[in-house]
Amino acid sequence: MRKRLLALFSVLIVGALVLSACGGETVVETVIVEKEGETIIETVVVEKEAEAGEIPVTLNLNLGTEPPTLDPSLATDTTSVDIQENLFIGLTNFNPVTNEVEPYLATSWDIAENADGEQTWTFHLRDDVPWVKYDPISGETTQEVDADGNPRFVNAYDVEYGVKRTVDPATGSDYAYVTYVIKNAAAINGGDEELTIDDLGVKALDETTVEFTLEYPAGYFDGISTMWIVKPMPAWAIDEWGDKWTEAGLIVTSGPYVLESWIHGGELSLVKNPLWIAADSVQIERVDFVMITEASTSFALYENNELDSTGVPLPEMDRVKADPVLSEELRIAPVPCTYYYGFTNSKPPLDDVRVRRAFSQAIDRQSLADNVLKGGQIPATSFAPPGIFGAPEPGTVGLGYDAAAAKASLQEYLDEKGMTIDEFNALDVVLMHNTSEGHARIAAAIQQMWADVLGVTVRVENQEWAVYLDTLKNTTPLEDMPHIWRLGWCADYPDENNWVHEVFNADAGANRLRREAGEFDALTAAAGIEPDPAKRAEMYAEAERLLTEVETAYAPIYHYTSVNVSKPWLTRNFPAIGGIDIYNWTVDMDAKLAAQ
Amino acid sequence: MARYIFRRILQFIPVLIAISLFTFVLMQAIPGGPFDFAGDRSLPPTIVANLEAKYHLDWPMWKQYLSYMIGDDILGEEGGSRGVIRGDFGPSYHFRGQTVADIIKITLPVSAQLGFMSLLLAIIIGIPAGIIAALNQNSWIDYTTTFGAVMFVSIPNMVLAPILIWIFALILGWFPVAGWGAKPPYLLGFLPTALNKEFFSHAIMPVFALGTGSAAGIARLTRASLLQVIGEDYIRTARAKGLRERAVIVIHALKNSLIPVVTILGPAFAALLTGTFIVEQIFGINGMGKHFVTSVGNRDYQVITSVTLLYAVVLVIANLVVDITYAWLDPRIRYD
Repeated sequence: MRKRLLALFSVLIVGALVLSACGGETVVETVIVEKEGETIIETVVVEKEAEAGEIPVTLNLNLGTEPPTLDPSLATDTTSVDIQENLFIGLTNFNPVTNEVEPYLATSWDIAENADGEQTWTFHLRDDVPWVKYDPISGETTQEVDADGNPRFVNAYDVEYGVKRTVDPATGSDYAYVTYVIKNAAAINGGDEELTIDDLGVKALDETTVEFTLEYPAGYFDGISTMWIVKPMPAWAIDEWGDKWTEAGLIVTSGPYVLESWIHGGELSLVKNPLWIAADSVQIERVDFVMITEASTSFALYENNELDSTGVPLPEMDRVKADPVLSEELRIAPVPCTYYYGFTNSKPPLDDVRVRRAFSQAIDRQSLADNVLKGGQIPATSFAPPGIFGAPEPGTVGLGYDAAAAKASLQEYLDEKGMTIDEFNALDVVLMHNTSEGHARIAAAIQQMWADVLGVTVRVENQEWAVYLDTLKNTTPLEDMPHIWRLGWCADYPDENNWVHEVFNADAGANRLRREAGEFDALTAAAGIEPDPAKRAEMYAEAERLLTEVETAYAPIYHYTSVNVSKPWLTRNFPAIGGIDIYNWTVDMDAKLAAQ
Repeated sequence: MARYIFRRILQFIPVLIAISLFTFVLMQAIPGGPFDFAGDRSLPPTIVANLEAKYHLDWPMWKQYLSYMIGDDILGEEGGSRGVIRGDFGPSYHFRGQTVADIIKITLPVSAQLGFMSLLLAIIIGIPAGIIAALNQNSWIDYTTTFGAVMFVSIPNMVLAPILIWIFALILGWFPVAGWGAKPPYLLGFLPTALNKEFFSHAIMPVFALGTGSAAGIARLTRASLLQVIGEDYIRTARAKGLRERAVIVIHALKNSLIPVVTILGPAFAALLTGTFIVEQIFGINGMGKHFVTSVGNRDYQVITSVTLLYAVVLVIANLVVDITYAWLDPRIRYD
């Protein structure tokens, strides 16, 4: 018996060794083949001979998840936007360091008023950005040509097409609502029968000039012009391949990199576009992305020199800060997102401003950042974070931690109602968050702060994300609504309009706070169309103050940060807004190879 | 036998219809739809309406189900669905532009390779360990095996996997930290194209993490079952008629004692083959396991219904194979 088992194992081991000896270098490619007159897309294995010569300058990163789409009209998430930033040129672009809008495809733009009194934005485009396609078999990037054989360059018509495609309800773009500032966009996207897509306020005047007509004046339209949903798109490729046009081997792009391969859910690789207008200044020649969800695995890959940069999982935070090498590689960068607790302003006892003020002032935001979050988060007293146009400096507007004031505020309410604290607690105030370990930890800490400072007991509940959002709709009966609930908000474009107005305005936003429209709402609406930037900033600061100090309609808690470690051989930016700008980064390949 | 198998296969049809219907209805019954939110924000009602119209979520539920199962042309509706019966599992709502069939085609082979090797490891370790323990009942060999089995059953994968990574990848550097060594396209649609060092070095840790838990269970079951069979009258008879101990065990006891083991192998096969969430996530393996979990959160109705249906198909087939194996293991069982 034992001998036979031994023999079996020996056979298995020898077999494995023999098989391992005959493995070749194989590469997977997507190709288009003609079969029986039909053109189909296929994946094939290609034997590639190892290329002699130098190893290309390579960047290894973890995306964390499969990008849900590479189609600029459809992207909603940072993963997709990060890849698109490197594949497609935009009308304008954010400077990755200063966050200011800079020329990109558009070299300049003018703001004017047309005969109907509508605001127009005219963008003047460069004419030398080629549309390119990467051939995975030959490994070559070639410029697209039109039906007559002329090379294709990105032009104003491609911009017009891209914007119209996003607004067209048939496209089903999640982010189409951001374009509603463009004339007729909201009506067309909402399925208005009277209008066609050609009534949209975007028009290519000639090859290099595109004009946007706005629904109402918007000083922040340059911020929107950086976004992926208004990027120029290749109509011919989308018409030919439909939903599949973003696959490797089919996708037509216009940016610094081209898509080499994309194994859905597994890996994605970019290579440098040699025809790019600024190809000489792009140092990194290829980018290999993996898609590993588990943060601790990603961190292990980083420690093993298999990734050049990654996020730091919370349990590793203390070790990273203490480690002499890792702490040098650590970089905490602000992210334009705000974590807040909303109050249901029409639900007793939160319908009284003194109660809301007590709850907000009893939160020790600094202690939360230091002891629970540990990632250098910025305590928030107002909504829009630094870097957003019109955002007040954190701590200058709104209510911070003040235990005595909080206690007094609640006591005043109790005295007036003739209640004891036990009677108040019998009202059973509920704090709800969507199910997540992180949110639960924060809720537990704040629940404790409220108990310590105010003596109130708050019940914490959680719901799965989609169920939770359904609960928070302002059509939910008041009795089913939690008193206090957690949400976050991140910038689409860096302007206060995207913050206090779109989120909290009782008429414009979802009004989850269930407020009555008042002074604040009139002010944010007026600020959106105010032409003078200095005046706008003032108006937003006042709006922020009204909502936090006067109404205390919600409690801002902290502004997000991203906590990353990067290898010393990588020089990178941490753009606060928009996708990652790999074309500006550099890798010292000698140092990287030496470490491996 | 052939008639029995044919009858069983016919019985699969109502089972699978019931499973798909239940999954479909249960998913739709959960509040919140696939397009109510994008990442961490909710979407305005007009946007949600456009998306629901595009994917026919504005249809009544019965029509959506029939569209998914039999296709739009049979239903007499406009739309591109050809139905599950013709191999079209519909689009993914979350991964725009990908179909459920695309997702399964890429991820199922990876899960199947990992699952198959894990099950093989579990059997190779589990059954001999159980036999050795049973034959040396109450000796130190038995106690050691039982202790080992209890330990491996008790350590959850989410603990074992990071420990393996830490020791064997980070400290010793023997194996890669994460990933899978085979990439699409696959041989015959599911086999790795090259069984090389790259493939096995990536596979060892996840296969070990996944296989040892099952191996421990199998060892415990084999031991208990073999001990029970050894106490049966026919074993005493076999010994009484003067058979050698080895013949008694191998010919008479072992075969019979494997019945409970084979019984659990059916569901274990289905579960391991269609992917496991935790091991695949920790080792960064692009398998199907994650789609059972994330598609519920994403309200990706077609994905969850399809992967559940696929799991059900593998399960009923595995159970059929188990039932046929019974007849071979125990002469008293006949299907006529």
